[in-house]
Amino acid sequence: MDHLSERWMRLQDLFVSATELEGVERAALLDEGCCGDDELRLEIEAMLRAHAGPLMEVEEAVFGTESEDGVEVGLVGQVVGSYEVIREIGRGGMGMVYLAERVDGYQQQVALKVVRSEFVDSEMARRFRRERQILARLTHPNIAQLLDGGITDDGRPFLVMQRIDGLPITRHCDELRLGLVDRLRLFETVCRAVLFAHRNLIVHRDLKPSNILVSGEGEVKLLDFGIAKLLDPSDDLESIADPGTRSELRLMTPEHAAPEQVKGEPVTTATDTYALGILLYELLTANRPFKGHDTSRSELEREICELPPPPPSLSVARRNRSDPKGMATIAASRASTPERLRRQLKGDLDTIVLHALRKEPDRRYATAEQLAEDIRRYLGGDPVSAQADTWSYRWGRFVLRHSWSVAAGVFFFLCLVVFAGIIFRQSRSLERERDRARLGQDTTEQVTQVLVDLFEVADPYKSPVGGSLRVDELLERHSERVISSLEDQPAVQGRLRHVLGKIHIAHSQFSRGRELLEQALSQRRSISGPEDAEAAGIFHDLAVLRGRTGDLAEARKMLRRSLAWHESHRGEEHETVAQCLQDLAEALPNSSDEKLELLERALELRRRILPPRHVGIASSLNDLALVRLDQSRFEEAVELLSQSKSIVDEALDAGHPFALAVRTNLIGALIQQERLEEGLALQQENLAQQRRIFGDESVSVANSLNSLGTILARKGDWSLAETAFEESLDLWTRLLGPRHPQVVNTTRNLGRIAELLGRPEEALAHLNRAIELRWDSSQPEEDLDYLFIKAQAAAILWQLGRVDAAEEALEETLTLMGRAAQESNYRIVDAQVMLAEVKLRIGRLKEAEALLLDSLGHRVERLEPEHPKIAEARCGLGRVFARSGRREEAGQMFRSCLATYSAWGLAHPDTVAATQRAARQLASGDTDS
Amino acid sequence: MIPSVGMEAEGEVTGWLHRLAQGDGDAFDRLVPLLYDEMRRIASENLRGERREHTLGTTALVHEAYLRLLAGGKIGARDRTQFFGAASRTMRRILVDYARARKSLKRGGGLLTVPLDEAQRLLTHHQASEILAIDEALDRLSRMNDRAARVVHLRFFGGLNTEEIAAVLEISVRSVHRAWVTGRAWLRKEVAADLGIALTDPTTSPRQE
Repeated sequence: MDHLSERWMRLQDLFVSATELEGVERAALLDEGCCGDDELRLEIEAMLRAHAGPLMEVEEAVFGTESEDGVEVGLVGQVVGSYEVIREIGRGGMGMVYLAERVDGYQQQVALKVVRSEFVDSEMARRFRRERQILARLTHPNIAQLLDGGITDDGRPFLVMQRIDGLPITRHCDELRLGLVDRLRLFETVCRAVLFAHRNLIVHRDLKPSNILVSGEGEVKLLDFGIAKLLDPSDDLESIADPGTRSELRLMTPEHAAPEQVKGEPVTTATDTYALGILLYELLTANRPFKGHDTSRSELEREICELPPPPPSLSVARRNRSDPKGMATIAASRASTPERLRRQLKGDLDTIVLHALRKEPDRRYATAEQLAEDIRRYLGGDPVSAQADTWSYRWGRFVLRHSWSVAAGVFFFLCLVVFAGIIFRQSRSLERERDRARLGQDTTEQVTQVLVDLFEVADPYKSPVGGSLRVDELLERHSERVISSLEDQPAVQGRLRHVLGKIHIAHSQFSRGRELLEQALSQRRSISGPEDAEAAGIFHDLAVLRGRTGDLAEARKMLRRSLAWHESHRGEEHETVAQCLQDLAEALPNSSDEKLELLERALELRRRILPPRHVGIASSLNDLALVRLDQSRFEEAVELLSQSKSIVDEALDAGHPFALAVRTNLIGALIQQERLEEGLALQQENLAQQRRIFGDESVSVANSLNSLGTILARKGDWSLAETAFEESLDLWTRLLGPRHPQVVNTTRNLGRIAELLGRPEEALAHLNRAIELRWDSSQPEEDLDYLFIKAQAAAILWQLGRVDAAEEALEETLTLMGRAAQESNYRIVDAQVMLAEVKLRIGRLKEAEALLLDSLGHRVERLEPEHPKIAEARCGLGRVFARSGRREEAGQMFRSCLATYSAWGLAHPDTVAATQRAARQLASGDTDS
Repeated sequence: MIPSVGMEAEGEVTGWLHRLAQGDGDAFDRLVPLLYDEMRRIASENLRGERREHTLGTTALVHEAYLRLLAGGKIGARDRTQFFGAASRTMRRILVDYARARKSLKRGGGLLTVPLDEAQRLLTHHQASEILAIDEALDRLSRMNDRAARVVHLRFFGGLNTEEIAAVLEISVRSVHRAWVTGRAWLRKEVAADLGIALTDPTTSPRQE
């Protein structure tokens, strides 16, 4: 790409982004993006003026009134009623707004609102007359007053309203950099004005920032009761259902519409409550819960009706990831920082907003007054009335309601998840055996008594706390006190710390767990010396914890020491040695041969020394399955996991953490094998149990959300999948810190989803973040996973128009991958296919063909004959052949793969579209010749 | 497949489109005069017609030409694509010719002259100036970024909507939309500069909607 064209692309990126921003945010974007290039900046600013300004005359002539901008013949200069129209000051869905002045010498400036001619019909005229009557009655200090009304010469109804000199409430808040408290106070005023209208039986129906102005004096005025509808005074508020209101829907601003408006269901005061929820969302976060741009209107409407809105705090976290500079600006205009803002929103404000935004009108705040009250309570530090929806309510219903028929358009190019997620695997009975061997009987009894005491706190008859406490709350409140009560018995105290440390870890409270284990270890060593068995056990648990929180290198070092210690002190035929082998294997990368070797050794050992249906064997089978999954040997993985599950189902309670882990992994394997139905069924069963045992805040739930996202993505439900991934990422990050491999995994899934949703810039940001995280936690140049993320990022470059950069980066990455792997691997093949796609697009047909033939050979060898990835490679080849005029061969390829595509779909939509186009061209060429 | 001499315009257009699609570079030059005649005729008919407002209506015009010239025969997707490419080029020539006539400028030598009265009924003086400015600005744009220029060209002169342009250029709808929004703003800015019109920013003054 030459210099001029590159500059144009840069200009286009900046310009388009700038059109979506306002005020300080826009300025910040241009500061950042132009980075001192004044010429570029002046040019973009002029373009922004042109963009917002009037059309060229010839544009009006070419596009007429049908233009996407909704051009309307203006009234400027004409006299309407007793007003002279001075200039246009706004356009809405339904009409135009002009600044006008009285012609009879009163010197009064007013806002004159005229309906667009295409909406003028008898119904509209009737509605206008009605609106006039309604508004004449509505006198409130925070509502713009209606002054006059009538019909223009060309038959269009008009209204004359008090002119308000002010800014939309969101801009007002941003320009004054109001903090959350001031914003909430203004919002409360808005609620009370809406309430006044509701008491007069008037629903606004189109509340949005541009309809809520704040004057220079800080006075709030609600405007434009444009589609307000008189509620029938003979009915009560709940039973209003007038089918006549439905035709108004097309006039709505969809970003602010409530689900019932989108669906054409009756509109009530609860509809305004919803709009107030959206307004509050925007005031707090500068974002809207559902994205208007980049998605089609029907997609937006589906989001409004089906998608759970992300909590405002999550929206902030989300924006902070994709656009940290922008989010910093947004937070600054709220006198805050992104992280602080997120924390401020988390909790009550999230709950209040989500309560107002519930899909079902009767589950929202019953009145605007209740909403205003909750705001007042929040500001006063009192508990709010709104209740958060449970996690299972928010998600369960979407999962349940989804039918498989929507799966027709599922396109996936790559596996989304390299499933690495065994969470808990300790066999409790083994642990108990070990404990008994290590400790004197009396110490065990003392610890038991202390724990019994601790749990008695939770008994409502023995404790004033009341209610039943969950274990994690109990630990948080009382563990410190119990530990310090044992100051004079260091052996018991150390043992208790060890036990409590492990309980904390089991509840995902890793940093506290680690602290307790470290204290226990030093305590034990000071009593019994370094060669003590219990110290060795604590040391081992610490090593495992290291690995689970992402510090794999250190974990490996420690685990090798632990293995050596156990082998020399226990002999090689001992269960703890098998456990050591397995734990060390977990800390090794999937591609390493040593890992497989260790796991097989552990399994053999267990088969020798344990009964055949022992959970220890199930645990080994599980870990082996994860390696098989990674090698795309899905069938074997499913088989191993099914064996493991059958043992576990028998030996453990259904809610046992290990049972849940095996099931979660089996779900992952089924997804990979495209057995989505079975995966989803198992997933639902698993979710309920996980929530019951771990609560909403646990790695299990995070993991489930990630699998759920994967299933949804596979089904083509990308928006919903994105939310699932985001919630998962949020949980992972909070529980495991930002550097854990699972964080990388889910970040990468988010990147893939953003790409599919047509947001390549954001996708690239996610992937770059994943690369950065990965770089910190492993030896990157040898790690196929890491390299594969780089390939994914490179492939996105071509979508951003940087074709040459994409080609170069992909080639470089493939070279590294070839060096890192002993033999060809599915990740290498996937990356080859990406490179082939780039080559195909830039016309390097020979090179594309070679890559695709190689990939096809590899896939045919390993995958089932009907696998979508085989079809993908065939389609690529078909396109190469079509472009080189080899029609016969192309036709063959297309025929063999199009059927598979329509049944499965597994490629990027653009790729499928290109294939279909190519096939069509070929077909039309065939019939002509 | 090769058009024979004396074929009806309809068949002839189909034939040339086909050759164009197969990479025959000369076909384009043969095609445009055929389209030019037909599209001018449609424009004149519209002007003589009953309709009071004489909008330029490029969308309607191009599509009507398509119906008249191609509706009869079977036409492949690729040929259809070629047609809209050629038709938008023709439309641009026609508009520039009208604009030059309206401003009573000498044509730079070429196909047909446009009756001044038609030009006066079709375009205001200001619109004519805008068209000439757009014509030049589009040339500049195509030197900077050919794709953006083609998107604007197809939207403005070819009357194609975003989805149709995406199909013609084989790029995503989103790319088309971005190119169009950017290209249009750039065009307005260039035209305003050319004609000495100041651009004001409506968002800097308090407004009411």
